[in-house]
Amino acid sequence: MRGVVERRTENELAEALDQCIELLHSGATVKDCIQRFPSLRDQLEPLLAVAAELRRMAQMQPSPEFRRAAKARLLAAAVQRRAEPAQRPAAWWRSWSLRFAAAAAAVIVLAVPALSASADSLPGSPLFPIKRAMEEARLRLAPDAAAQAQVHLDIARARLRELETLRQRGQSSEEAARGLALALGRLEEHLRARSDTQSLPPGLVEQIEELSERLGVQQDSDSGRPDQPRGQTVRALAAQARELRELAKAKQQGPASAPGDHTNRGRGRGAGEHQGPVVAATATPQSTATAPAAVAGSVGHGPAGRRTEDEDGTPGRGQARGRPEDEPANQPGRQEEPRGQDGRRIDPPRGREDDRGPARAVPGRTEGQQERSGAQAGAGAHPAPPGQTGEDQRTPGLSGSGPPAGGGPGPDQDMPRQLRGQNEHTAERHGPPGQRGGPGASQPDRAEPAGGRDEPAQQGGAGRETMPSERGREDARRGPRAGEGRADDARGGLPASRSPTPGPAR
Amino acid sequence: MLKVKRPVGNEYADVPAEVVAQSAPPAPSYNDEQALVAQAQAGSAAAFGELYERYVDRVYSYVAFKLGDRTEAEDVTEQVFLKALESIGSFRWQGVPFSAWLFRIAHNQVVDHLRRRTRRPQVPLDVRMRDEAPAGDPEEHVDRLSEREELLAAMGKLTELQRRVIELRFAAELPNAEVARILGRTEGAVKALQHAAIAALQRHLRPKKRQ
Repeated sequence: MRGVVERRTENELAEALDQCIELLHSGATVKDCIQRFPSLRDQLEPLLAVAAELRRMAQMQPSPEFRRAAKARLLAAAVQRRAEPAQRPAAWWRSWSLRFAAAAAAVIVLAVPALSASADSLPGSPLFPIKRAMEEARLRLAPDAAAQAQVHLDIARARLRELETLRQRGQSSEEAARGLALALGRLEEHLRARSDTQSLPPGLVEQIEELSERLGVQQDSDSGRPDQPRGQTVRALAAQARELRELAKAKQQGPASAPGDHTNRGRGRGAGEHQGPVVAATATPQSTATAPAAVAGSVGHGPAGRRTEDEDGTPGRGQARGRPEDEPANQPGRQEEPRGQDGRRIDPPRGREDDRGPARAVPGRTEGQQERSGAQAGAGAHPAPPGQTGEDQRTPGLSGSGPPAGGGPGPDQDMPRQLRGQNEHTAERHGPPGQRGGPGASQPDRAEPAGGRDEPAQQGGAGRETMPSERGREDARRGPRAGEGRADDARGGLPASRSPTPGPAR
Repeated sequence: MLKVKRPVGNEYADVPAEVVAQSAPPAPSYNDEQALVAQAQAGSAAAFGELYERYVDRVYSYVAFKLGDRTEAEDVTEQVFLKALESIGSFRWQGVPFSAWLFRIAHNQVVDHLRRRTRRPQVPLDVRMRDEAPAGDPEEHVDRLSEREELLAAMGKLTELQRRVIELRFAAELPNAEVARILGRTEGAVKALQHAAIAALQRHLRPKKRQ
């Protein structure tokens, strides 16, 4: 009992004490407080004495000077803070998790419609970069080589669809063609880099065949106007697709069977393979014939290029699929002339297109290479070799034109290749060089400004599209050889070429 | 029983600051304080200045009581308000009155300051308090100094929690409910702690006074 009573008293006392302290704070005296709790007077009195002492001791006033000065400083700081509010986001925004959630939500809200809408966009439309970015993203997310190849195929198909649509509308399909050449070039490079059949997507050959067929349709629709640049472009693309098909076939049968490889190997793996394959695909026998032209073109022999043209004129379609090289050669031929002189750099814009033709000629080169292969002039490989070895073979054709280029052939050619290779690589990588054909792309970066420094520039034109791919490939191959060179180029070119892809990606 | 209690800030905790700001009566109250805080959060220097006016004495008192040094107390007091200005954007009326939030900052600043001070040579307490203007009788001033020393010595014998109750209750003059929030205790527990602390101080001080 006693304990309970004590506890109750304790609680009462604590409560009374607390109330008295509040009274003291509000100005009451100890006396006032005690009067309110007469029954607890004895216990409260000593406690309140201490409490009053505590109050007196604890409550210190800051000096007025400090009070004023500190306030002025604080207000100045407060005003300064107000000037920054824009930089100081609201409290909720300072939470990283919320920031992330908000950013993610914004991305989703903004991106979903744009992504879906971008699927149908055409080059030049605002959503097109998004489309390209999506493609690049798919490429990067592809789990294996086969999936990557499939993405390359899908991209090529998308470009082709764009090209078809644009041509149907009578609009400029140059960028789509360039993109297609680039996509095909990338696919080719991709295929060349793998030797195992398992890394090939199912139905690879059939899919390429389909692309090739569709390009053939486009080509046929231009049959009445062989001179039309666009026609050349499509022809070049068709040739490129055919080459690719051959390459795919070879790859499917097994690495060893790839003709290009042999040739290439001679030269030096990277380049050799690339070129080799190309050649193999397109050039082989026929290619030889055309090849020269192409080579010449590539080499930069104006004459050869022209010759090629002649060939193209005729064989172009006829050979069409049968001999893609020829077609390219033809185109190249025209432009080649310019190049030949410049050694690719000087070519005029359209001439470039022709140049591309030459690129295809590459196949021819292949042959040349093959022939040379033994020689594998290493450096000369394609271009240079053409001049050197290749020239010999093709020389005939080239020689005519070749000479000019040939003169410098050895070195010049080599140079060109590397350059091209780089350019192309760049272009390819950046893919979108967008500005100009794949090759063009690479070139564009440099060439455009420079005026098509190397072939690239030349290719820039219509030829670019075709050539680009071809050259691109070659370059790519070589590029690899060049290796560093490429990278540099790529960077250099990147601005231009990347712009397309990167932009969107971002 | 007469209850003289200041309104507790959290009475209005559920009222959005904006609403309070719009309907805040001019009379100084916690309601009004919410409006001030809202304005200060929105960047009003004047509102923050008003909050400073309301709390600077008590913050200074609290800090000085804990530090026992006027100059240091001024420095730390200013730091407390700068800190409050910096982070007022993150203050929320979620059951925590502004004063509780502010004195939590003050406590942390004092602790930080004491931590730093331990690395510096200690100044004797009597020297530190000597700058207190000896108003009136010098003897009385000496008496007060010795009383203060006694009191501080007695405070040293309290438990940490008891000491904090005394500091918040007497130096910061916070109402029991806010002390309870700051310390994370019930109001009843704070009353009991307060009672026990004062009783302990009485025991430690009274023997000397009797002498």
